[in-house]
Amino acid sequence: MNEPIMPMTKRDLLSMIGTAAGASAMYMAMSSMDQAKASNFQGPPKLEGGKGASVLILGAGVAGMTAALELSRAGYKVQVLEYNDRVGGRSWTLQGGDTYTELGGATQTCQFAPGNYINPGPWRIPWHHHGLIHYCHELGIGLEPFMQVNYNAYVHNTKAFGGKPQRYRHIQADFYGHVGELLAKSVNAGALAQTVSKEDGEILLEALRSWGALDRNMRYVKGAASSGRRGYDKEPGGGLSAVPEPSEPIDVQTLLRSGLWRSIGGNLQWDHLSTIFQPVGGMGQVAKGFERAVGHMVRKNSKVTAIHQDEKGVTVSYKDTKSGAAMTASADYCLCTIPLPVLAQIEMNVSPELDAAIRAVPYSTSVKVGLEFKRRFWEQDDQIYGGITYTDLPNSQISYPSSRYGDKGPGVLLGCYVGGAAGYELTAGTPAQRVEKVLEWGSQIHPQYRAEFMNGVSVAWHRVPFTLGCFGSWTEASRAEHYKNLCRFDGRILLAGEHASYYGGWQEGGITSAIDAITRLHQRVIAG
Amino acid sequence: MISDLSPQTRRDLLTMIGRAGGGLAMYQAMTALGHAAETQFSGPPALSGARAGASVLVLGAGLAGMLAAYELTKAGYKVQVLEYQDRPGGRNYSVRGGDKIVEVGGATQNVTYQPGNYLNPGPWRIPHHHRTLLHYCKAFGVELEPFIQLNHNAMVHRKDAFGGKPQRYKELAVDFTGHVSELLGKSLNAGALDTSVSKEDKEKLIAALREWGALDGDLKFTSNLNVSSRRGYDRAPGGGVNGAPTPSKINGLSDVLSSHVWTQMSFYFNYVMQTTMFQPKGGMDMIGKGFYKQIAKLVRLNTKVTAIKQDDKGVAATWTDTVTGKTGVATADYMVCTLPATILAQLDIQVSDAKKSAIKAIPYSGQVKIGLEMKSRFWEEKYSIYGGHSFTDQAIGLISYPNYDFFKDKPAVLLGAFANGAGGYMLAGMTPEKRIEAALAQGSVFHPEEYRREFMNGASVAWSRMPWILGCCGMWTEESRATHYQNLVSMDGRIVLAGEHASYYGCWMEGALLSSLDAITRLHQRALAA
Repeated sequence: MNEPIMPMTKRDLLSMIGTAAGASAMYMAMSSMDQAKASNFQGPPKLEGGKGASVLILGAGVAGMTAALELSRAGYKVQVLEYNDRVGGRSWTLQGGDTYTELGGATQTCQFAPGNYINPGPWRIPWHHHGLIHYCHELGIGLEPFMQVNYNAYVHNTKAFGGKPQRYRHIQADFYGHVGELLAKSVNAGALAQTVSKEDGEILLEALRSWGALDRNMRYVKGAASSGRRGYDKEPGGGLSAVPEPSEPIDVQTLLRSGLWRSIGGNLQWDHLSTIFQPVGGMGQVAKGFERAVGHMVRKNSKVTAIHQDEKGVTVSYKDTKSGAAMTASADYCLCTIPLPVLAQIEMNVSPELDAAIRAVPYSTSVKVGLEFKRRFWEQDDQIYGGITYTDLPNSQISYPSSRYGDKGPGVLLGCYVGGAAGYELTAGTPAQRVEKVLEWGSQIHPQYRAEFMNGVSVAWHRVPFTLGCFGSWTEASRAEHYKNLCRFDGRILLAGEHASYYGGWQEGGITSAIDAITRLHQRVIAG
Repeated sequence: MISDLSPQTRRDLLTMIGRAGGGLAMYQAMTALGHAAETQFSGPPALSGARAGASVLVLGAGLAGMLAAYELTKAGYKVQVLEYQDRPGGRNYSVRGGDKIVEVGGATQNVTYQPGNYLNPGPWRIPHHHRTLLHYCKAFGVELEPFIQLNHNAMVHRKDAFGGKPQRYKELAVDFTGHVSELLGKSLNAGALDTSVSKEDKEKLIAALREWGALDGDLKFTSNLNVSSRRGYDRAPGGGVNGAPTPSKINGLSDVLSSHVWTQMSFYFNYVMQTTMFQPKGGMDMIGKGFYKQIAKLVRLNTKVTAIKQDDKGVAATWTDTVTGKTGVATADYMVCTLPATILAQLDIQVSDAKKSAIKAIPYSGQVKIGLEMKSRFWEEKYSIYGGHSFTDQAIGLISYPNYDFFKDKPAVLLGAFANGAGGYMLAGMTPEKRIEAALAQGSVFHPEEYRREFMNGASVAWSRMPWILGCCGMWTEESRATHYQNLVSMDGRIVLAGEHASYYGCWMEGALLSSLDAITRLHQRALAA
């Protein structure tokens, strides 16, 4: 049986003792490891001497509030206009009692039990998003681990295995095992003699045996090695009848044809690597943290209708969405973080290049549906604690909550997170129809769905009035033609937000974009 | 840039709509998914109806012993538990400030960790499929939090690789995957595997390798932005005018192989190491305390067993109170003995020769754990390492970063060594002071500027020197299992053994619990049949 100790076993006592004493001097002399690679966030900007200049910020999302925080610290007079009756923008949490009205007028009131929530927009924070993590730390926003990889969650293809979901661990172990066996066979047959040196070939075989869980004959077969990865038919136990029974790996043909290997790739993405976090209590806590610092500068319920600039300054016309009153605000400069689909509809005197850039970036769609169930059956019945099940059904994934593990319930899971064509399809339906569809799909993975369902809530981003889409979808071609124009200072106006970054769709893009923008703005002010 | 969306993008709207309607009936008819394979645990044992006045003596108040006491009491037995130490829990143990650790040979450590900080010298992580343990944690209100097992940004160090400079796990793992994919793609294209893989499967496999290994259009693993979207960038994507990322440079095959990174990859792939994993909030001993709350009144602490006898009427254990020196004899109808085999082998115990041989047939491993308290969480602040392990081929084996109090601005305890095998014996042979020095010297390889500068104090537990166990856990081999396992676990007269050593889940709490449930179920059957 595997024991909870590290895998290094062939250690040589003598050489080790030598190392403990002798080599330490060498290590001590080593320079510190290069930390710069992880992010281009280099700490908050060091702006000083804002000379009392004024900046009007449009939008109190994460980008706008980062700018407000740092500019006010640097001595600027800052005012922020926000369309919603809350700050945060897409950094948002829906919980019981919240009401949300989408484009077209459909209104949903979230009915979740206290403590349950979904994050309709961003929901996870990679360890290398240094900008966001910096502000979470500074603003007292508690973070907890987000379970990205769960080997015991499912991967599901309606056209494979008779539509029966498979455990992630089975697919990964078997894919690696078969790849290991085939490559070992090639190496042993001399097929790679031109490419791999004899010495490396030998190490490679050792590596493949260990990595692929191959047996003595370099085969991936049913046995202790493969079951030590994929799990057993009968688990090891205690006492008299404790002997485990190995499980049968999936053969290479069935595995390849299932296409399920594709689902183990998502966890290899830089943005999804562990350790990855979520705010305790929902992503809306990020908004609340910023609000504590800059809330007094924000005017909510303010819909911008026109942006005008001249040599003296910028004037923004807006409407109070509660009273209907038309108002104006003026400042020396304007930092505009309004999402492009909305901005494109606002009258603004900027260069034709910036105007073209604003219109050049379509927004991706995305639909999230949160479902509340009477109990956490995914934990109690399926032993899935957090993590994500991937499916080729239109709901695309089911994500299990990374908090309150073991709670009796009710519990909320993310029943759908989908973009693309399926996202548009789902967006077209009413909120009730969306929930019904998602129940129908999810039942194919968790038959408990219908019996345990209580209520659901959906956010279809193309129907969200304040963004009209989820995030900016750049292409290589549109980047080449428009990106610099979008980010460039235009008279007294600067744009910021995830759309003005190479981190589209992430809060880190909003923050690094804001810092870049205000740094340039500050240079302009200092230069007079 | 990669968006925060699912990886499935090439979905065809039309086929999808068809699917949503058509496939449903079939799925509705599907039976509930099979969960039976998950564990041998199928709920707590339904023992009931013990004969009036029937009694059981339990030796050892570790998890196995306390579980036996708890369930047997529920079944109607009169239970007494004898425990050598002045605390319950056994290896389920957390070391905190104010604790004293006394080793065989007399070396004594007075632990000075700050309040809230701790070291789990024994078990420290709970796999999601250890359902017995999870069941009782829930039943006894022991709160769990995630144990960060896999941290892609932690490091891998090997003296003979990369000039001794640690590398980030994610870079090596991505490079290993990429090179393996490229080589297999090359073999397939050269026809080297045509006898093993059909033409259709070959095409599918090549497509899979391209995607999974992040290969380029020519099936090559090269330095580019796609590969960087796995292993990280030289300059990460950012905002504004200079937001464009620049790719990082991949390592060549020979360098990747020299790192032995597959050792770590294999480790994370292990069924018992797979995410999601948990730890109890506040330290591993919260579990022992949870059990103890249920049965505290049955336990006699500070009680050293010196002899175990049985006859056809019952069992008797002779004991000495380690505080007062008082001696006594405890008797009962039956006995569940959870003493570690190392201790049991030194006792006068009246069992069959076959069981005696079995008890003596299991050597115990000699792990060493060292907890170093540091002034700040520099591994988070400077290295962006939040939980997880950095591995090394030095004696310390690894260092592991705490999975609680993330981001806090106060001293924290990191695990400065988890040594086993030769490394464990080497560290166990040192004085506690020298162990700390070795841990600092070796761990500095990962964090050279900060490790000594931030160090405050340390404590170590060398399991082979702990007087109440003389080892960490039972090390079975295939041969010793074949000869001795059944003899160890069989009921011998009125005595049955339990503990992780009496399971196929050696060294895990789950093994101790499953073993205990199996033992008391058989004991109960015997008692009813008698």
